[in-house]
Amino acid sequence: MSVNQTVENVYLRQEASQITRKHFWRIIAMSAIVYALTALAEYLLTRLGDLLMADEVQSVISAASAYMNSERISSVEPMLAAWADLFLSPKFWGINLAFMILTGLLSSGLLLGYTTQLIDTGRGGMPKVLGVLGRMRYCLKGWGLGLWTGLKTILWLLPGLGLIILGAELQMYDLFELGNWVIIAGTVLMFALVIQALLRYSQATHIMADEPDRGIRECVTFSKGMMKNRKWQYFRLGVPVILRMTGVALAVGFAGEFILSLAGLEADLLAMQILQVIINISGIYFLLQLDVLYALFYIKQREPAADAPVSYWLQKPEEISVRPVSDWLAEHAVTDLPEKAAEEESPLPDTNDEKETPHEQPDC
Amino acid sequence: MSNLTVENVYTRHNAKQLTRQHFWKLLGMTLTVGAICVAIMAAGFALLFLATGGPWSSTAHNVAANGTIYAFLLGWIAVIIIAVLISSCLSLGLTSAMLELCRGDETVTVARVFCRMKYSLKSFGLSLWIALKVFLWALPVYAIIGFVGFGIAAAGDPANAQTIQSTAGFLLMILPLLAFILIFALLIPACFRYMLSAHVLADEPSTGIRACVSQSKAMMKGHKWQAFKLVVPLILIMYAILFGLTLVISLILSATGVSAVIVVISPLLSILSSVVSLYFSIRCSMCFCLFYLKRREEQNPSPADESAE
Repeated sequence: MSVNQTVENVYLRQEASQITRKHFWRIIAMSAIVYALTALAEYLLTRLGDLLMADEVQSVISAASAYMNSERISSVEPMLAAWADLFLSPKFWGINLAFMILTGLLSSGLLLGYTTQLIDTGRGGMPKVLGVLGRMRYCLKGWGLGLWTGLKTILWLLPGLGLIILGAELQMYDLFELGNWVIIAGTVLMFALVIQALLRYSQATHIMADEPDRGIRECVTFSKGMMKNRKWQYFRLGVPVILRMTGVALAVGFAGEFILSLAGLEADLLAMQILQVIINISGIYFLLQLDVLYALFYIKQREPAADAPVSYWLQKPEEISVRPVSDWLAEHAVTDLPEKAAEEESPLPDTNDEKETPHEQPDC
Repeated sequence: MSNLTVENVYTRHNAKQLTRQHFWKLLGMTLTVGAICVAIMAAGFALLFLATGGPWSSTAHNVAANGTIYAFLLGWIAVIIIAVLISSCLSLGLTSAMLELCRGDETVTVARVFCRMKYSLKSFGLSLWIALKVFLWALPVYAIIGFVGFGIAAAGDPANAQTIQSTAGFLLMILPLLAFILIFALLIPACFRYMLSAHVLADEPSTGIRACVSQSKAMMKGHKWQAFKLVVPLILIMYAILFGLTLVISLILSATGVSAVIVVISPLLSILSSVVSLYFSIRCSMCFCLFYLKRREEQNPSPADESAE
């Protein structure tokens, strides 16, 4: 990974942090709508399923309680028969399939709308909270894209899985050492191929959200082209944010445990649940920042639109090579970095991420 | 937007390039310094044991009568002082050599580590002065730790002292946390504040000890957090590599049926870990040398820069 990609990542993270702070409440409202609608749909469909399968569920409960009350082995068969009636019934499978399809469609449509709003925000626009519903008519296409990328990822899983199964077979034939080697190799291969595949197809959703008229396979192909030589950069992009999120969660967790122990509530279940909710809330800002960050990465890889405002950092940083340090020191003096251009052109508020005030710039 | 993070990226990149370019030279210098320090300590203690027979020798059964143990302690302190004197001036020479390599001087050799031997007393004095200043910054922490210890001793039974219902127990729970916070608030910034003193002395050995510390303070003003963030990625990468090495070797050994306990004492793992740690310590040192040069450039811009402005 070149140093230019590292610098690009630094600018992307700083810009994502600024955008998240500027539009925090709108972005959190959008994600809350997505989460709430999906959770509501799942709840309603689950309740509907329970109502439709009420008789079968009741017979299973009756058979189970009869078995527990009698504690006789002969009572097992009615219970097993009730379970079989439930899980093998076409009604059960139909309801579950309908649940998966309906929730999949809803969440895909909402995700496309949410991603579209993030991309528009990254391009300098204002996020519209109800814009998450703006791509619902492409929910079927979005769901299809999810299934297609999922299928391709599972195909990449197969070689490693095959080696693991082969290793297990070898162990059954008393070739333990060889089997161990093969299982280890298969596990490593599986992780390597699946992670590569996930990174390769990571931009497909953003492409479809940005240009919903593109076909599913076209989005996947385009994503593969965009991620060529960028997978490691993309992987490293979010690592500092994830580390910060983990650090904050740990700090909040330790502080909360300390306060609970001072108050004598360390064994109280409600207090622990409230602490868990607080820890989760402390990570929300970073999760939103990650969403914005990946949207900005997508924008950076596309050609900037002719009629869209371009942030100063969308210009490619100059290539550098190893040169004498004196040249490097002179070139990377404070006045040479693009901060001044940003202050003139960027509409974003000037916030300082550093903990201390930077040194004074020399007078020109 | 701040450019200090971007400066750190370029610093790490250039340090990596320079380390690779001059790896064998840097390795030779580092191993020379380390070997000499270890040899001096080993020789000193060997002589001490030969001369005094050690504090537990069979002739020392009457300690007060023959004073063997006192002679051993004095000799031990003398060996430590000599070792610190020599190691501090060798470190100064090593830092000076690294600075010259960073400036593009290709004529630097391993023998450069001995170029600052005549400043051994000054470098030792600088180390003591910095240690004293850091100790003074750490006094509140020591006071709190002492108070906690006194509180536990005065309370008698430690279990009783830590009951939450008592005020003393409450304080004894709060104070260690306060000490922990003060370490990060006072002690670590103090260490970073005086970090460049050795570089100043290595670069300009005629500078006085207090002037070195003052210059370091001035250079690090507004850059302590940047200096901390400069090497954090390198440390994380080093630990990731060490973890990976341990995992791979233990997987290999477990796949071949060797007990995992052997991994801990495996000489191969020890050697690999030492090599990795040495490489990253050299890279971190080069990062700090480049960092020093950048701070120096800002404080004293070159005449070419001034005429261009």
